[in-house]
Amino acid sequence: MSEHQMAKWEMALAKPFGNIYNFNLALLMLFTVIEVGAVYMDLPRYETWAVLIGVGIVKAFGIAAWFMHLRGDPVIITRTAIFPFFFVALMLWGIGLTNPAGVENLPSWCTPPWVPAYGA
Amino acid sequence: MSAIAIGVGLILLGVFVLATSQGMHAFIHTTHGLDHAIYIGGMVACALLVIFGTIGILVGLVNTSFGGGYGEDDHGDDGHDEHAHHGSWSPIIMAFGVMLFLMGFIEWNHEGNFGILGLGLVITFAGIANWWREDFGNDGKSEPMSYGEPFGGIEVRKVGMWIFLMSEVMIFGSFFSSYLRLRTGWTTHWDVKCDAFGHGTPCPDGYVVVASELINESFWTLLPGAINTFALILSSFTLVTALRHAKMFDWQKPMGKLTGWWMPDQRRAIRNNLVATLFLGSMFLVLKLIEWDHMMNGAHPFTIDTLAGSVFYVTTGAHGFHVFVGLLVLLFFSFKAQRGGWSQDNAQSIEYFGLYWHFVDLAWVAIFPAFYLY
Repeated sequence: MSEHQMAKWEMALAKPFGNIYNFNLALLMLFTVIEVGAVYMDLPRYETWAVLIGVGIVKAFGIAAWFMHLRGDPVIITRTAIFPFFFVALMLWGIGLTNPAGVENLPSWCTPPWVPAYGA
Repeated sequence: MSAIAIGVGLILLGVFVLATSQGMHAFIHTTHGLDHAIYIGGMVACALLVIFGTIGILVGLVNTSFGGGYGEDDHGDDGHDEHAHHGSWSPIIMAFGVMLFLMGFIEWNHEGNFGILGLGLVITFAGIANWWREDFGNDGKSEPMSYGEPFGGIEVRKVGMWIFLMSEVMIFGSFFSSYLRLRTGWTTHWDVKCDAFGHGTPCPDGYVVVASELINESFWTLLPGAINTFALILSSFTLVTALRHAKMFDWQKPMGKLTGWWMPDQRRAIRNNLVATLFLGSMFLVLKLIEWDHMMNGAHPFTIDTLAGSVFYVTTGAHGFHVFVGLLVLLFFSFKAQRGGWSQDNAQSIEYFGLYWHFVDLAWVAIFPAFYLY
């Protein structure tokens, strides 16, 4: 990724490290340490999930944007890369619907009275 | 140094590593199973080095047989437009070989008949050899471009790699969603504060022990996975550094003492970073199999014949297989770099392979927290 393809904020991040790849390496290493540390801090379940998912998103962005050069490539490549995640989202949605607690214990915002229940 | 000589050297190194590790295993007895880890690690490292060495010898033989030196491919500036890119038969040959191999694998497993499997292997290797022959002489001046929407003006190979990676996302997505589905099926146990290994409050009947509980049991059991995570990140960095140096028109020796020693000229800057990527990927596999051995044969065996075991081993095994395939490509790239075969014109091959390698890293970003940490 050449400098003329980088936004100002990327150049500001890259400057102290020499180039954007060095910055990305430092970012990924730091967030991996946070990831491992969060599990050993014995946080409550949802806080741990929040940290792990948050760290995962940052790391995935760093790898895809800079190591895979999506930031410098035409937008159609990014769209291509994102497309299969709709299927992944669909599968995750399916998990929500099929787990044992998924039917009885759905939160109220998931079950508005759009359709009258049978026998009502 | 020729690829054949390097190949023989790698095989000898593999034998040395095996002998050393077995010797150490005989004399060292430690807690935490370190002696057993050395034993397994030595065997895996030896197997990888012998595979690498054999490929090195094959690369050397193919290169000697077909010529294929740089500049011999007649795609010079003056005439390459007339020689539109001729495509390659290698992928379809390799795909046909792999199909026969997989069909033969079933036959071999049930009937003990090796014929179709062997034929598949031979055709696969013929495809690989043909690919090497073509790529050794690739000067990058006949890179085919896409025409029409939506990929007009983008290199065909780059588009192809991204389409391939889309299918890979779906493969790992299905593994990952299977795991999450199974694990949410066990959510009723997530609220139970118990110790599955009998040190504290005993767990209720039907409690499902998942891989992360075994891996998180102590610092030593998490260590291989944690090192592997850093190794994959570092390997992505060394690969992208190799690409950056290959693409530089006005290459200059880095100013730093260490970086200057590591990258004294452009050829060695590319080669050393590719070899470092190869080393880190190999280390990943060695540590992965040490970890698997501990999980399968440790105090609390975690085997593949359970739901929790099969989803863990299939997912991490599929990921490990991707790393292994990447190592084979990296090995070829390293041999090519040793011969000074990379330039600004053909460095895009490193970029396209890099997309695959970074994807393997990306998949680990999801696997590591889900299977190892929580």
